[in-house]
Amino acid sequence: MCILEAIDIKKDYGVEPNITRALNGLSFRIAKGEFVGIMGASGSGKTTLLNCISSIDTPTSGQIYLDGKDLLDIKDRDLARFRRENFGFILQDFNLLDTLTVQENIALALVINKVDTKKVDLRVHEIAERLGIGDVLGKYPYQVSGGQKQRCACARAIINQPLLILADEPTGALDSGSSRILMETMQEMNQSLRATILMVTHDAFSASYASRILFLRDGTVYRELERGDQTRSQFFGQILAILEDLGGYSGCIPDSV
Amino acid sequence: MYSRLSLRNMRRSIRNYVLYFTTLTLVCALMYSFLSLSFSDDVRALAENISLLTNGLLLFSVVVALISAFITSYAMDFILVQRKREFATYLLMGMENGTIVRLFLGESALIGLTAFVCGTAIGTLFGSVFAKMAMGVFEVPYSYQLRFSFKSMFVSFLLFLLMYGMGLVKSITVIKRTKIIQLLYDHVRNEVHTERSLRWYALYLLFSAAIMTLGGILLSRVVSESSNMALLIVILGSVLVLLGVYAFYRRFPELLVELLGRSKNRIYRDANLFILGELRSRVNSSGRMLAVTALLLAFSLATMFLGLVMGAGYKANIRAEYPYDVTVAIDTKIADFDGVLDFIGAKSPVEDYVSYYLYRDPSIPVEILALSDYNRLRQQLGLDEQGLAGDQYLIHCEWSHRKEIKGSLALDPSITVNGKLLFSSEDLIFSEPMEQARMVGTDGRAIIVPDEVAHSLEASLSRLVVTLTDGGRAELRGELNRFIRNEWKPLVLSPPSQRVTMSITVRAWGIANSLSGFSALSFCGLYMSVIFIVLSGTVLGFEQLASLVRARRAYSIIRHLGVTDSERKGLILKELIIFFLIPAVLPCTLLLLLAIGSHKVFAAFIVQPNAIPLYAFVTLSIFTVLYGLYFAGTYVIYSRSVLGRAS
Repeated sequence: MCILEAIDIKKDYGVEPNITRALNGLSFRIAKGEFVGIMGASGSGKTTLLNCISSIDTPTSGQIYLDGKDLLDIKDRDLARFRRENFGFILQDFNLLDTLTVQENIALALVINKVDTKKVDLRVHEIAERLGIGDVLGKYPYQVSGGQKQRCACARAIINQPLLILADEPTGALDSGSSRILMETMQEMNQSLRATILMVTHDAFSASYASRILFLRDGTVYRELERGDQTRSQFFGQILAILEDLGGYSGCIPDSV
Repeated sequence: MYSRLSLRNMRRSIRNYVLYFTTLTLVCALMYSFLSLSFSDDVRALAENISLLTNGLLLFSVVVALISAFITSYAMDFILVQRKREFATYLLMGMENGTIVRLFLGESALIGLTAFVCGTAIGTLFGSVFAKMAMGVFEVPYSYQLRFSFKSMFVSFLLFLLMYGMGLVKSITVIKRTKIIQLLYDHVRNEVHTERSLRWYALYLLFSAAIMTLGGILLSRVVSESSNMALLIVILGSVLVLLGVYAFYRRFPELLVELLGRSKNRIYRDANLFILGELRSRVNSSGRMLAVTALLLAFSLATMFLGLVMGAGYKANIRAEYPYDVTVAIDTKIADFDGVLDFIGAKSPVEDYVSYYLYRDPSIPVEILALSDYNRLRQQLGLDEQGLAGDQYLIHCEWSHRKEIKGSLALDPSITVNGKLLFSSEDLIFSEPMEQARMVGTDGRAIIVPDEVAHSLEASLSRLVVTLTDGGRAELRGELNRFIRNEWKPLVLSPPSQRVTMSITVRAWGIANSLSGFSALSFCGLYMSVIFIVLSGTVLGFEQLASLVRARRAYSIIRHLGVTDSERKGLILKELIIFFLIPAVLPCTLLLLLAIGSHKVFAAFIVQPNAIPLYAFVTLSIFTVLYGLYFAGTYVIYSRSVLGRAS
């Protein structure tokens, strides 16, 4: 079943004659329960695409359907509600509120979605235990590690069981150990909790956890790679090969791939 | 080049500077206007002791400048924090520290001078209004006119330099000493939350409430204290109340947030959880400042209210204090006041006079007055005459003595004067203002007996009351004083004593000089309190704006979580309302308690009906307008900065 469908998306910045085309007729589909990675060099349009899908930005032309509904048809005043009901976000700098504890940060997503107040704590504890942050719920973000912060962001993203989780460079601010734990967490969210994930990353190691990868170049899909039955190590090798083809990959290959 | 950069920087940071500029302008305007009142020739000619007002205003201006210096320095710190990254960029580009200091100085000088010029212009308007008010108090006709005073401008400028210079010196030191790394990463420091138990908070707040209560008890005791101890009690009581307010506010907001956080039902409703987080952060980083603001507000509200009430009480009670045109009291028995009457007659035409004695009976602790003299005094004041049977006496006293006297009469209505038994009753107690402290008795009360009884006693005190056709002039007091002390040789009939007490009052002089006291109390109270409210508003505004970087991020995060723009605006409004309400709640409550207490105790002594509720309302209204102005300004700047960047 198709959850997200992007058809011929174009996005231009600037005015004539200095127009920059960030997305150039990009099309793709994501099925329910998929874990899709988007890779590409800087300026290839990754973040622009994510912003258009999340309705934070609007494409110049094209259609984006989420669960059959065209995002461009949604009125501005309904966008915020649409976002909170259908999307979960995991961003590079965690986007946690320093003023709230880990538990409160996760609960905030439920509170904003007007979930019955009696169920909030129970649901927060459930998801926190599953993502391995049950013991830091009472702490403030500055009191926990980067990996724990990002798992808190994951918990907040999934707690409302959104149609699509959008992750923008989720391991960008983490060390390799924390990156691994986070990616395993996201894999767990995808496999056990049936979360559909669209992750933008430039890190081949993180991308190797996805089931399918779209490689962008100059605002369009340059290549598409399916993991299929390959091991993650094999998939990682394939990703590196395509990245080299795309313009070189200068990152290190982790020992533990 | 650099001056152009300064100008552009100033224009670009206009949002940061709005509150700062408004406060500087208001402080300059108030300083100039009150100083122009202080230096005004018209005001200085109002009364002999008007220096009470003019010197008071000058002294208060210096105090205001010193206090404002701290606030200016605080505001500059805020602007520096907002621009640290900009300065770091200049340094990275190779600009020298000295150049940055010159840039900052240029901008600050431009802002300061503009604020001073605007403030002086507004102050000229205010000054004329204040002059009109002051003249109105003295009932001197005065037509509204704009007058510019160079002297006031010069002194204002000196005080402004003192205030602004202190702030600038501190900022320059900060710029010079701060390293690039600090400038670049200072904003990413974590806040540290200290957790305390509810029991700790309960004990702490109980302790601070106890200090406040103790202060309140001391202040309430002032009413029954007539010695010099009263001033000491007032100071001690006030210090304890203010200390209690500070201590209370130091931890009360923390407890409030802690308690709110415990009520899951409440915080999981709407976006209260987010507001809780924002408040937690504000209380954590601004706890001390909230306490200082509460203290300033408590002080300013009390000062304004007491200034207005005491001033009004003063003015309304003045005629009761000076019922006669001229009085002379000599505390011994003299033959007559003829010389004095001739002297007064030469200065102002005498319409009528009463020359009489106060008598003493060793067995009675108060002065005794003959009925005919008493009725003559009543006649001077347009009061009806009283009559007594041969065995009756009446009592004339101040209102405060009535209850005690009634109690004594209920126990025993009789006294024996020089062997004659006399009776009285509640109907024979009178309390019209007849100067009971000196002319009718000496301790706020006197006994009036039939003439034959009085004349059988030894006269001990001589009194003269004069009614003048034209009411007299204020200068008469000085002239009469010099005459009585240096030229008049009365015939003393009492046995010679080493020292004779004497006092002279002239109503025209008394009213003018009492009005100086009234003006000094009202204007100085108004001056200090308005400045303190303005400064409190500024501090709160800057505290809120200091959290802009963090707030932009926080409001951007909840936008990602699906909170609409209108909901975010609502959240900002809610956050600011709570932040501005917290330090205002207790000062306003204290003001109401003060008003209720004062009304119960002092209402009977103030001739103007409902003066206390009226001035409590005036105080709250002025406070609401000024505070509301700062709230609105902060809200507009804050919401535009937060939502503009976040969306």
